[in-house]
Amino acid sequence: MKEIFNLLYNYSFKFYRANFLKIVIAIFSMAIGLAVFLSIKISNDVAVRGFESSFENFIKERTLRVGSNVTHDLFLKLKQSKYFKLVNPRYEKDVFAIKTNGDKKLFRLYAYDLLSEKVNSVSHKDKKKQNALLQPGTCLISSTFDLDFTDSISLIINSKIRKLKISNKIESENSFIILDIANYQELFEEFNQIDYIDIEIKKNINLNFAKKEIEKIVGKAYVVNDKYELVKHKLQLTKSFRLNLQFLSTISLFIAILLLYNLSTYLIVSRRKDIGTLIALGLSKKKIAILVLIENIVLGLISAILALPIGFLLSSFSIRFVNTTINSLYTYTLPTSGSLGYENLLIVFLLSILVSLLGSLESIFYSFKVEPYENIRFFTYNLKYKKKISIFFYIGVFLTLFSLSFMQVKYLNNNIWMFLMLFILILGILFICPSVLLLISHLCKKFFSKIFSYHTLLADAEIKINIFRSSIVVMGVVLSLGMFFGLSVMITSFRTTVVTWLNKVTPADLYISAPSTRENKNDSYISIQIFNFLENNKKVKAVYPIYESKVKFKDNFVNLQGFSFSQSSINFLNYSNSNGAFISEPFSNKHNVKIGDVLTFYYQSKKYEEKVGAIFQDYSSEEGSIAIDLKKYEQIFLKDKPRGLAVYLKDKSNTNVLSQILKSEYSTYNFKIKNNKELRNGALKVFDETFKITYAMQIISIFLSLAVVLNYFLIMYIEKRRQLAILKAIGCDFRSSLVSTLFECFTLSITSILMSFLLGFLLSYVLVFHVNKIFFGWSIEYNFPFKLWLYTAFLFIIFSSITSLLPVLKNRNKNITRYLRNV
Amino acid sequence: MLSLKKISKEFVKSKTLLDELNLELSLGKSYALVGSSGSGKSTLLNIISGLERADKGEVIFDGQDISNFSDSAMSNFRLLNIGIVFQFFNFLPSLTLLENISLPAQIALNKNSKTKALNLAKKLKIKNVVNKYPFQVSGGELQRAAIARALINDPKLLLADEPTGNLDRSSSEQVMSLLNSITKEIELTTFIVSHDIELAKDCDFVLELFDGKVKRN
Repeated sequence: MKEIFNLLYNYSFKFYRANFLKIVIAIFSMAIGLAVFLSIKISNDVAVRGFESSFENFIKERTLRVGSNVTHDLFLKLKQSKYFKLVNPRYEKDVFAIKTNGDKKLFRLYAYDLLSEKVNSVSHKDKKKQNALLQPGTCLISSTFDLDFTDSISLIINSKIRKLKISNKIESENSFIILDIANYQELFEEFNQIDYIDIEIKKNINLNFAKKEIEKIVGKAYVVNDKYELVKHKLQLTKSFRLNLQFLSTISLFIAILLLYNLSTYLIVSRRKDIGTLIALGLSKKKIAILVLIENIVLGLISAILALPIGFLLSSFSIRFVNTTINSLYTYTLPTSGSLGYENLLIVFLLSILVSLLGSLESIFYSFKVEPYENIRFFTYNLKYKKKISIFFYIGVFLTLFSLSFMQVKYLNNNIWMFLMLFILILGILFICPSVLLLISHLCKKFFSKIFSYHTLLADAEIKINIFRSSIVVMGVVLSLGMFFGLSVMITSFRTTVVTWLNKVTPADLYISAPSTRENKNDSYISIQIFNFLENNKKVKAVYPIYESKVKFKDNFVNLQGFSFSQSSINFLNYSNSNGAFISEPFSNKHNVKIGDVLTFYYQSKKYEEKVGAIFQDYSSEEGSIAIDLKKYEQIFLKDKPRGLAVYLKDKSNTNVLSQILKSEYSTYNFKIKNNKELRNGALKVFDETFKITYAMQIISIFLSLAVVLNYFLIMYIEKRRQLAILKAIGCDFRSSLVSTLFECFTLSITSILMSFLLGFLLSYVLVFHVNKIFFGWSIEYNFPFKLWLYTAFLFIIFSSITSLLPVLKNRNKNITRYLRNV
Repeated sequence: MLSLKKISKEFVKSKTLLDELNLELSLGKSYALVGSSGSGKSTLLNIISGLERADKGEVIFDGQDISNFSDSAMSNFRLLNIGIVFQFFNFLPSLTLLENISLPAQIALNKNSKTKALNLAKKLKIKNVVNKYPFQVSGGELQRAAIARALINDPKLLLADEPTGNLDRSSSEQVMSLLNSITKEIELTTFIVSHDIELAKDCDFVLELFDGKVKRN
């Protein structure tokens, strides 16, 4: 080992010092890959923290939740059971708080029996504070509450403004208000119904047995869930979200490996004579391999140090996108900042070593192979390689076809399999790249040889002799640009579908809806007084209530809507008859329900059965919903509690006037009002925010593809010196050298673009028709952003062309004669 | 045909490599330039070929001062008038020998570049290896291919920088014999830089570079 360390100091260090530029490129290339990985990892951590903080924090292990709207009688019966340790009532509501400037802000309000139970962070060691919470008209707010409250808070409850005294604040990343149950019942005048009940099961009782006992008491109309069933949906979303991010971070790491591999092989090739000399001097091949390995690991560690600040800086941007996406798509979380943390530091350093190892494998292998007298160029294209490239091609075609076929197998369609198949698909396309590059290079030479005789010859020869390194550049670009193209199709298809759908389903002039946070969508209603006011208003042509209730279906709560099909515009995907229930497409996919099937659902102890008459398009939620006609709905549910109102005006110009009248007349009522345009724009805004993480992924993809091209041509700057010197010596002028290099770049760019198009097309197909169905359960129209693809391809070719000219331009005024003396 | 007038070149500041050097080369004659290592032989050859610029002085080629040519004009002039043979061959490793030999003719837009390259390869006895890559052939074959490349555009002047410096004695003799016979056959002016006095003796004139000036022996 001492010998190796001596060599490291006396040879490697001096070699690297003399080749400082190469080393800077090597370190930066790897640092970029690691930094992208780190930024995604930090964003991922933030996302998971956001999800976890939004989960049911207050529900304990061995606790079952019964809901919803449980009667007081059932609550008392549950209390009497000998199997349960604690039976705790719970209330949850969405309420408006009024800011000091008069604006309203919607928040979640929770109520617990603070007298009898200790609820984690709510309970206080300080008895005075605990007792203060039990006083009438007091509440507790989370420390992140962004309103300017100190002593009291004004809430709109049952069309009245109620002022509550703030007894204390508690630490939490979410914004909420907590009340004692007695305070709640008095404020909301709800005494006979409890939103849900948390039942803590005795230690010696089996949870499944307890669940059956509860069902015996409450009947089939209620849903009984344990902690994990409650967060099941969110856990699935978290998993999917993490998979998305991990997919991208793995790709960025893959690109980092490609970049380092490119450089590592170049460095080893450029030192082939040194290695030969060292072996001739008596150094064993094993020691040479160890030397190469240590050199690469040192490079990796330096890159890791550099990657930390870059990655952290990048993460500050990506976290914003992640937060926006989570808040729009999944659940409310407060923006949190990312931190490096010991775990991330360790991961980055370990990965840097792994990337170094993978990137230097071929070089180490080469160190073993090299002979002292050897003076050949590494990766030289010859017939032997042509055969190897053919094998790559066949493997690539097989992998591509295999992954595409596998995706068609429905029962294997889950997230993990889908991502695995995506990886195989990408790998397949990448394996095809070298053959396509050779083909395009050959075709360019053939078609352009009459006009650009030797330029095409030189370009073709350079690509062939560097086929593996040229292919790596193409692969890096294809990987990142392919991702960009694939995602662009998905976003465009999604957006176009949503716009078309919105145009169809929002025909009314004004929409009035009950306020709701994402956690609960249907526990507040529009006052019947507003409905009556609108019905009697002369400006109004018609007003239709929109109803929504939670019903139990297959041990889950699902939304059941009631609206007038004769008046509303609904876009049916499949239609059989207008009788029975209509189900949304995500509902049909998630629960595997088809037209003609009989739906059995429960509402307040009663069982209802409806035959499915049609499947309709719905992009408002990925959970899916059932819809029945208004008249039927009114037979089952309470008529006076609409969730929303669709208002048609006689004269559309009165929209704003009526809106203002409603806002001033019913200022203390809980409702949101939007005109048609605002509703559509609002929906599209949510859509755009939902896709912010995808936009971030696209930016990263472009960033990576440019890094790959820059890396390749920067190395070319060093490597091209001798070639340019020879060309100059035999009478080739500067412009001819430029044209040859441009041809080489053109061939690489065209191959990269064509293969990126192919990968983008296949990815888009998988994203639109498979991944999208698994994640959301809805079908979208395939829409192709031709212009975006063409502009991106054009800009990429311009960028790579400019970058490719750097080696020639940089070497233009150099004294080249010394390069003619180097072997 | 070629005259160098008062050519000066400093190696580094204060160290003069070529000092107001004067030289005349006649058409169809062969010249060998000898001198100790670091005396400036290769620099002089580079100045003649236009790969390097002299600090002072003129390079007159067929009555034309080429020392002030632009980079592009010099490349074009070199392409059509000067052939160079290097000690380290300087082939493009990505091209076969045939492609390397024919490349200057292709740059000069000669439509018969391939036929011409093959004829030269036959003359220089390397026809059987022309489709190989530079790393697949011997040093002697490489240097013969380098001569073929230098001759492909029918230059008026052939410059050779230590053409046998990288070869064994037998290969050196073969290469020099071929070089001499071909240059005499086509009446080419040759200017060979060599430290091997034995090889230099085959040339019409032997010149020595000493103290920045050329002396005829």
